[in-house]
Amino acid sequence: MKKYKGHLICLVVSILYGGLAYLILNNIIIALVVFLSFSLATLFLILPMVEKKAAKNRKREECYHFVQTFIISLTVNASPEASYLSAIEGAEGELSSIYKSIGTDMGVDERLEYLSRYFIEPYYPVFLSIYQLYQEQGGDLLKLAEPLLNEVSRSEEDSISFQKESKRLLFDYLILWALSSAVLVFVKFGLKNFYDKMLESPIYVALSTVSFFIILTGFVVYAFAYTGEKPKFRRKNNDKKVYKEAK
Amino acid sequence: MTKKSTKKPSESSWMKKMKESGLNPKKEILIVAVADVLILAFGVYLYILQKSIYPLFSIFAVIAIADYFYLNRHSSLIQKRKTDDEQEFIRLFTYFSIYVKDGIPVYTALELTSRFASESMKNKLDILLKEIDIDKSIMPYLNFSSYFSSLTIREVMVSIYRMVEEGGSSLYARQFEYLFEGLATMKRKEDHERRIKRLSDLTFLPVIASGFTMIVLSYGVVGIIGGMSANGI
Repeated sequence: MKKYKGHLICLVVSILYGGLAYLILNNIIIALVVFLSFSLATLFLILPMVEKKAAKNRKREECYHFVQTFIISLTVNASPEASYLSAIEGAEGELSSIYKSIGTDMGVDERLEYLSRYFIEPYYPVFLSIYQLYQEQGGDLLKLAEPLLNEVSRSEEDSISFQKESKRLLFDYLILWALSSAVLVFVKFGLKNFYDKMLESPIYVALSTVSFFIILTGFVVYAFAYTGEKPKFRRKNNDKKVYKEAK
Repeated sequence: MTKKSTKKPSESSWMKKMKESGLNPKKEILIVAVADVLILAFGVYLYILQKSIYPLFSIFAVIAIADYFYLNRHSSLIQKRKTDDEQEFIRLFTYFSIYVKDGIPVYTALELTSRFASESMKNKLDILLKEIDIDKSIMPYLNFSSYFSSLTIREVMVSIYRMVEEGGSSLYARQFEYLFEGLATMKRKEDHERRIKRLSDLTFLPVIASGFTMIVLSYGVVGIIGGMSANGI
């Protein structure tokens, strides 16, 4: 059910706007066009971008946890194998499947290298090169990795702070759209006596229909800005590819 | 016999800027032309329906404004590219500073850093490394900093040169760290503010939608009142 939560929200929004179009314009064809346009745009344009962004956020958190735990464990017990096992402990979902499929047949270095296909954070390759440096030169790992750990923590803090602020702005944006849509309903009920006459004008009907497409454009534009993603109509699932290759 | 001129007509500054921003001017003109024809066709349809020239005038005005902004977006694209380059500089030199703090020599740290660079930045770093190989003066560092408009980047590159000159002296390493941290903090803050501003700027869309609804409503009401007056009601 959780998997289809996004689809359900998209359908509810599409039904709401389709219903609103019917309520305002009394025209089933326009209502269907609005419903279909909202369904197509939300399901095939907005939802993939939001899902992609959510996956990136999840991977960012997983990468942060993995790198921090691995370095700190290695400082404490000096065993790469034990540190790896400690870092993968408690992994859930897709990452857990990837860990399982990688197994323990490969050396720790190879496993870490392999994970660079899953962890897309820009600092992960730097972590690999510092680990390689530690293996070649030895020394105090915590001292060696301290600048990286500071950078990783700073990057994570920045991302969390941006996420918080962008969620607050998203809430404001949705409230504004709800109020803007409510204006359409008030027009219908506020001008009860005039309204049927207004609907006789094809220009009025056409312009009212356009207002639904302005709302839809507003949603799509915000989804682009909020997620920072570009739409891809052919979905390419990198995680599945990593999982299959590891198998 | 007249001699044919083989000289190519010089490109207009608009064409040059479009190319500099990575846009194809011919393609952009085609997109604008197709969009204009479609919108004009809608305008003509409205004219036939309404027998009024006003919707057509409004559409002309909208097309003119939209075309102007669409065809002049190269300046913002060039600015965006410069900002992106500076952001990448900050990201890469953060890794460079990690390597330097770990005691890796500057040249090797630059080589390691270039692995994480985008193609265009990798080319710039490769040029820097090649120039360092043949020229031990400050010039390669200054040449690299000339790709960026920020003067602080120039100062950072000068401090890297000083580090190399003084064999990784801790004084110059601290100077680099101080300069780079200041620049990175400022650029990260700017980036954060720009991203937030981009989202908050979009709140004008619901306002525009409400404004549009009001215009449509006024059109409907005025049309009915006009009809009543014409019928003497």
